[in-house]
Amino acid sequence: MSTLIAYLFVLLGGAAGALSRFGVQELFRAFTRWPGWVAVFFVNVLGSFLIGLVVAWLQGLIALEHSERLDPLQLYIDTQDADHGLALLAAGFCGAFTTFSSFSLDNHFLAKESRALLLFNMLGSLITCLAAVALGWSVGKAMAG
Amino acid sequence: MDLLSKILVIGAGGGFGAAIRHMLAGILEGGLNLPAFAAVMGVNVLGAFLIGFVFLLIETRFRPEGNSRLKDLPVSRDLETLDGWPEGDPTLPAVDVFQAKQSAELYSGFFITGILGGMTTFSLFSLLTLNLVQSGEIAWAVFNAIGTVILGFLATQLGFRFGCRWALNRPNQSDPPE
Repeated sequence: MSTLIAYLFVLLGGAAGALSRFGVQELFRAFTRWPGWVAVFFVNVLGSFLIGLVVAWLQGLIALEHSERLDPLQLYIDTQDADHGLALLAAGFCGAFTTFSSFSLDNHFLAKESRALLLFNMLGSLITCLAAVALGWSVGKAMAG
Repeated sequence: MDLLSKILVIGAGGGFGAAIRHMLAGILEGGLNLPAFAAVMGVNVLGAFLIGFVFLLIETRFRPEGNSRLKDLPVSRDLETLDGWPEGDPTLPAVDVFQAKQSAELYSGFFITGILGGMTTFSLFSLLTLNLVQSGEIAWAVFNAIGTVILGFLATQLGFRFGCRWALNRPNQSDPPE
């Protein structure tokens, strides 16, 4: 995959991802009374699930085609499509949809507010996101067949 | 700022942020031969430092009406020598207050929600931790998980400290000179 195309896909996916995160944050603000860090927590869990699903699915499809010994040109084309999908959806969309900087900034404020909430956000985000990515991975694998 | 401008600013920032992450992670991985998880860790910790710095600058420069979100933080003590901090300047014309508010929304949308939000990532971090677990490198997975969160937390605090210094050396320029 040419580098320029990869950057374009990441850029487009990133723009959509950041906007979706902004949308979720605005929805949380409009419809709930929860503090801002809850929205970031939710976004990170959802994005972790999605990246697990997308990567396992696309990599699984390509691995399957390798094992089926398609003709080389078709395999090359499909691998390229999968790489484009990964750049757009994984590195671009999911990468920008989730955020580590806002998470750290929230932790900075929570540290002032309460130790319990700080620990809840840190450990809770870690455990839930790892569980979400593992769940997404198994769903994606099942989808690839 | 109206919704369309916000969408434009955040979309542009997020796109560039994601591209910057792709480039920085590529340099760390290819140039320094770091494993992928360490490259993402580096970008995330850098972003955590920058968000502390940028957030502090925005909250000190563009809050002339005195509603800075830093008010109750320990760092606000260090900023007390700033002009009009933290109560704001009640004599400021409404136009100036409105302009400052718009600037705050613009910069926080572009740099914080957009660039830094797009540059740092939790999903790639989760995915690479999962991959470490899958390949049996449990120790590295734990190091990555705990290390990224703790280093990011410390980096944000360091960013706040640097931001404080910067803000104190360059007092609020949006205040008109006497």
